[in-house]
Formats: sequence, C-alpha cells, structure tokens
Amino acid sequence: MLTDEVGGLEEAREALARERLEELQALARTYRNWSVKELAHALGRQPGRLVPDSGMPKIDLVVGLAKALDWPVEAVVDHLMKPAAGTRRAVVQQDAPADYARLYNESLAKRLERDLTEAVRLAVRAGAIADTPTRRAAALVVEAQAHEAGGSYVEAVRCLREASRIQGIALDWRLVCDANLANMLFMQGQGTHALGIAATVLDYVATMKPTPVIEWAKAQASWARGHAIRASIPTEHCAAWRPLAENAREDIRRVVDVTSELLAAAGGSQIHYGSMRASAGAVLLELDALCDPERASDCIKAQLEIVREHGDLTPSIGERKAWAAVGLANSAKRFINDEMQRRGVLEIASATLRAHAVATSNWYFAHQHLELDAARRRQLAGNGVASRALDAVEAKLVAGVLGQIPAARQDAGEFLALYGAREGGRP
Amino acid sequence: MHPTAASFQSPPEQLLERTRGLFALLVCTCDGSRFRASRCMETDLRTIDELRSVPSLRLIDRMGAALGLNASQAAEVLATEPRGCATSEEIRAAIADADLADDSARLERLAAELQRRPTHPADLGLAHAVRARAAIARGDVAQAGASAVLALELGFARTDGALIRSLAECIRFESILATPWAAPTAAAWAFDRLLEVTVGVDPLDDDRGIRALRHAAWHAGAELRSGGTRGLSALARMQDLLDAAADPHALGWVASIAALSALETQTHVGDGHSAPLLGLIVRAELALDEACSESGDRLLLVRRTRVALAEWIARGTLGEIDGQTIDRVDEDELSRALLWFPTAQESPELRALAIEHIPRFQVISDVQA
Repeated sequence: MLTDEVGGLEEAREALARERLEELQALARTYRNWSVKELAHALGRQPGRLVPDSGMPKIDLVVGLAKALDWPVEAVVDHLMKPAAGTRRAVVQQDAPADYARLYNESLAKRLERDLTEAVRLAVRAGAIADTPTRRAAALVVEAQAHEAGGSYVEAVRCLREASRIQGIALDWRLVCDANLANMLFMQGQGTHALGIAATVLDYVATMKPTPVIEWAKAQASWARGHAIRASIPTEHCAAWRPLAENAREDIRRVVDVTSELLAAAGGSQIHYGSMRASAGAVLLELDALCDPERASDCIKAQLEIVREHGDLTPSIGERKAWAAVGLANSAKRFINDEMQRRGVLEIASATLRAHAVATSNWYFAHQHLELDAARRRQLAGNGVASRALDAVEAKLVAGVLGQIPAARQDAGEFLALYGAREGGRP
Repeated sequence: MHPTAASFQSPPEQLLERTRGLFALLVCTCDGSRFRASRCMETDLRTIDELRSVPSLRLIDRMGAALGLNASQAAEVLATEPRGCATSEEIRAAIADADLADDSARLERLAAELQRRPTHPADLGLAHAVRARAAIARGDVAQAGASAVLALELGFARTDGALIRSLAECIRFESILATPWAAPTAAAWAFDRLLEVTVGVDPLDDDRGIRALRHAAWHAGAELRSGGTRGLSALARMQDLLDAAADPHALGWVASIAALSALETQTHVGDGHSAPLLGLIVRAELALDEACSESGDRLLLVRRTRVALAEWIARGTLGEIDGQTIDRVDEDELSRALLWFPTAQESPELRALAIEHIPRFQVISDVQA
C-alpha cells in the first residue's frame, strides 16, 4: 500500500535524523570534554530530551550545537538534512574522455546564452569524464561560473573549494581556482578571506612565467584584491585611506592592462576579457576620486554618464553600468555635500543596481541596492512618510541576498523588519 | 570546560521574530496572500499564526524552500547575530581575551569584524595578524604564514604595538611547535618579522613569570633536540620544569614545548633511545590531564589535545598502534584532535591508521571540507 510505504519512508528518515543528531552531539561532547549533563545544560534542554522523537530538532538546538562545535550553523544543518548515502540515483555514463573538450566548450557557450541549467549539466558531465586532475578542476571552475551566473553563490564556492583541493592539479589552474574563489568570497562580503587568497595568488603569479592561464589568474586575483581593499574604505573620513586606495587602484589598473593584452591575443573573441576590462574602467573612477579628491566632481560626472548610457542586452554593458553605480553611490556619499543632490544621485545608483540585479541574479549588486534602499526607507520613516509595500520581485531580492551573501545576514533583523513588516496581510 | 548556557543559546525572540519576518517576505512573493504563502510551504496557515515557540528545522526547511533558499541558508538567516556595535577598543580587548584563551573561532570572528568595519587603515593589518593567530591556534601554519605576510604588508598602528606583540610572540612560538604533522611554511620569516616590528614593546599579558618559564622550557627543548649528554640533562630539566609550572597557562606552554620537542627528537634518534622521550610526552599529557580536570580551561584542553596527538604520532612512528585496534576511547581522543587541529588529517602517521574509514571521522572531514 502506498500509505504504508510513505509511512515507512518517514520512519526511516526520522531514524536517520535522530542518528545524525546523536552523532553531532557526541562530537560536541568530545570536542568540549563535556558530560551529557553539561551538553544539555549548554543547549538548554533536559539531558533526556536532547534528541526529539522526530529527529528534527528545533532551530535553537541546532544553533547551540553549532556554537558548541565552533562550526557554522549551515554545516550542522547540511549534515542533518543531507540524504542518506546511496539514495542518489546512479547516473548512466554516456560520455567518453574524448568528449571532454566538446562538453567543456558547450558549457561555456550555454552560459553565454544564459541557459544556465544546461551549462551546469554539461560542466558536470565534463567533470565526470575528465581524465586528469587539472581537467577535473577546469570543469569545476566552469560549473562554478555557471552557478554564479545563475545566482547560486553557495554552490559556486563549493565547486571552487572542491577544485582547489584536488591533488595533482597543474599550478597555473590551481591559481585560477583560487583567484575565482577569492572573487566569489568578495562577492559574498567575506573581504578578509578574499584579500588573503588573492594576495597569495598574486605572490605566486609574480614568480611564474606568464602564460594566458597565469595572466587570467593574475587579472582575477588583482580584481579581487583591489575590490576587497576598495570595499573596506569607509564613506566618511577617508583621507587616511588614500595610500590603500592607491594600492587598490594599482590592482584595478593591472586588470585593465592584463585583460587588454589577453583580449588582443585572443583577437577580441573572448567576451569575458572585454567585460572585465570595461567594468574595471568604471571601478577606477571611484578610486580616482579617492586618490585625487580635486577630481571627484569629474569622476562623479563620468560615473553618471556610464550609468545613463543606452544599454542593450549584452551582459558586459549591464555589468559596467552596475559597477559604475556602486562607485557612484560611494562617491556621492563621500563628496556630494548638497543633500537633495546626493539623494537624487543615490536614487539613480540604486535603480541601476536593482535593474541589473533583477536581470542577472547578481546578489552583490542586489545587496548594494538593498543597503541604499534601506537607508532611504529609514529616512522616509524618520520623516513620518510610510514607504511603499514590497513587490514580489523585491521580496525575492531580499531573500536571495540573505541566502547567498553571508555578510548580509548580520543585517537580517533590520532587513526583515524594514521589508517583511509591509506584507499587506491579505488572507 | 564547564559550559555557560548563555554562550551557546540564541535568544528565542530573535529566532521567532525572524521566522515571522521570513514568512512575511514569502507573503510578499505571493502577491500579499498569506494563504498562498502557506500553501507554497505545504504548511497549514494556523501553524504559522499560532507559532509561539522556536520553530523546528523542518518548518524552516519548508519556508526556505518556498523562498528559493536551502535549509542551511534559511537557518543561517535566523541564527546570525546582529552586527555588533562594539567600539574599536572593545574589539581589541576581545582579541586580547581570545588570544589568551587560544580561541580560534572567536579570533576569526573578530578579524572579520575588524575588516568589515575598519575605522583606520591599520585595522586591516591588525585583522590579518588576528587571522594569523587564529590559524596558528588550530595548527594551520601555512594559513598563518600567508596572513602574517599580508598583515606586514598592510601595516599596523603604533597604538596597537602591545597587542601585536602579544599576538606575534604566540604565533612565533606556536609556529615552531604547532604542527609536527605538517611541512614547515616558506613564510616562517614573517613570524620573525612580526616580532621585530614590535621589538621593545611589552606584550599585553606581560606576566614575566610565565614568559621566563616558557623561555627556560624553550632552551631545554633546544638542548633536548641537539641530543647527546646535553640532551639527557635537558630531559631531566624539562621534567623539573613540568613540576614547577603551577599556573595553568605556564603549564600549557611547558607541557607543549616538552612533548613536541620530545617528538621532534624522537624522529632522529634510534628506536632504542625513544623510551625516555615517549615517557616525557606521556608525563606532559598526564600533567595537563590533571590540570584540565581541575580547571576545565579551554586553553588547557587544546594543549592537552595537541600533546595527546604528539603521543599518537610518536607511537605510530614506533609501530605501537595500528588501525585495527582503535577502540571507542581512542576514537574520542582522535576525533577531539581532528576537531581542534583539522590539518592533523594530513599527518602520514594518522593516515596510516586508515582513519578515513571510521564513520565519525568521515563526518568531521566532510564538514571541514
């Protein structure tokens, strides 16, 4: 009978969840050298009630367990929720190692066409038949890029970490993996980690003979390091930060130089080099204003011009505009004293970022937009004006940012209070 | 380590409030219809309306899925503590505390906090020095080296001299002691350089008694490693120093230096001479065991775990243990070691025990990956 079968499955799932919870509690006790009583005390439970019958604990128990283990909450949840081993369906191997290059290139092409599900599928197939560690890592990098383009930053980071751990991978590709990882971590707001990884890549790159792969790693790592430093610079009292802004500018200028050379060598056919070069040009304007405040007004004008450029559907154009909008918002906060003018410029920047984020699921830009929007909403609330209710698109942006950008979660309470409280309450 | 409940429990109000906030967000994605939102997450609307206590992981999983998040992301949204409003001085005081407690996880959080809200460019250099200290506390010398290099490049404020000195002294000592299982880092120069930039500055925890004992143990360790008759007298001196270390922090240092110097010496003496060295490791472990049971200090537990690891490696080298004979107590001991020192998984001696086939170690290695 179907109901019996479903009931049996449910029982098996509960038993598995109980087993895993017990396993993690045993690890926490070992780690802290605690007795059961001490663990129960720490988690706010009776010793006999540490594991619920359903195996599915309340969320406070999960959080407490993560703290006891010094692990992120997501690591504990992932372990509790992952399917039982052997429940995944076996994939029928339909490709041969000779198909690797075709699958790899098709995945790249599908990503450019924004058929991202197919791009991921092809990259996974390429990875499955890769006959060398480097090929397997390269397939994971392509898979990560497809995940990133689809807004699955967590998956992208998982792929890149997995690629970096592969033993026997060629050093130049290892550097590409690390540089990509630094970029993803920066996008997720983890500046310290991004800076550390990017700096290590650049140290290595400096000792190696330049090849297109090495140069691409150099461009990516310079981009990540430049951004990690740029994003650390506050919008007030920034005079003391000028030397660091100059370092960041040097990094972004290197991106322009390296991508120009790579683009020339590829005969202009590699769209991602052009896209990065164009975006770097927009990023430089913010750093130029910081390094030379007398030119701030010209830089803001130039940023506004880029933001107002007639766009088309090419991703690179939108990305350049979005980066210009990030810089525009920061420059406006730093250098425009007239409040009305500043608010107007911030509105323009916010709208540009929102448009790009909605079109491409870029959560970094979405986060920047939400921060600007939250500041505006706070200001409106302060003036006694009710801000408008959230529409479905914006609600998805908030959920996406909170899910994919760990750094944004510290503001989760404020975001949810600002946005979630305006649900309208229709039955 | 006796737990303080407050440090492991999240405020239930925050969890409940954010659960309601997430549901409100879901309602927005369903054109304002609460009914449609509850149907999206396959849950009765009354369950949400009548939610008075912390929700279960299953409910969060369903709510997250309806919003396009997986369970772990939704749980993180609920659990992440709000941005702290600690001042720059408070963060520095917290770093000093975490340094004394050898608390790697807390040091990492404080480094991220410094980097996220820097008030001065030198905060970035300090953030990476703190990351180096965090890495060394979990035995990751390579990561510590990379962070120390970056800290030196970014520079420090003169006012942070004492704090940097405290961190640097610990990093330097630990970098030599920390990981008998890992290859030395090429960035070891950065640890010396970190000390040099703060030369003449007194560290924050300027307990001269502990520092003197640590130096004495260090010299005895160096003589032990040099071998010969001087090595023998150093062995006896090390045992005296273990007896003399009454303060838990001093004992932590002396026992670590004694055990790890003995382990290093054991690798280049013949099997016939290794018994007294193994004896010193065991003695250091027992001294820490006793102190741990009395104080429950986190630092002592970490040090004890590392000394126990040294014993495992020493016995592994001598061929005294094999993977077939590992029992539950050994599993506990080894899992504690791998939880505190994840890089120990790289140790050839531990790999030789085929620990990757033990289910508990699979969990640890999966999560740490």
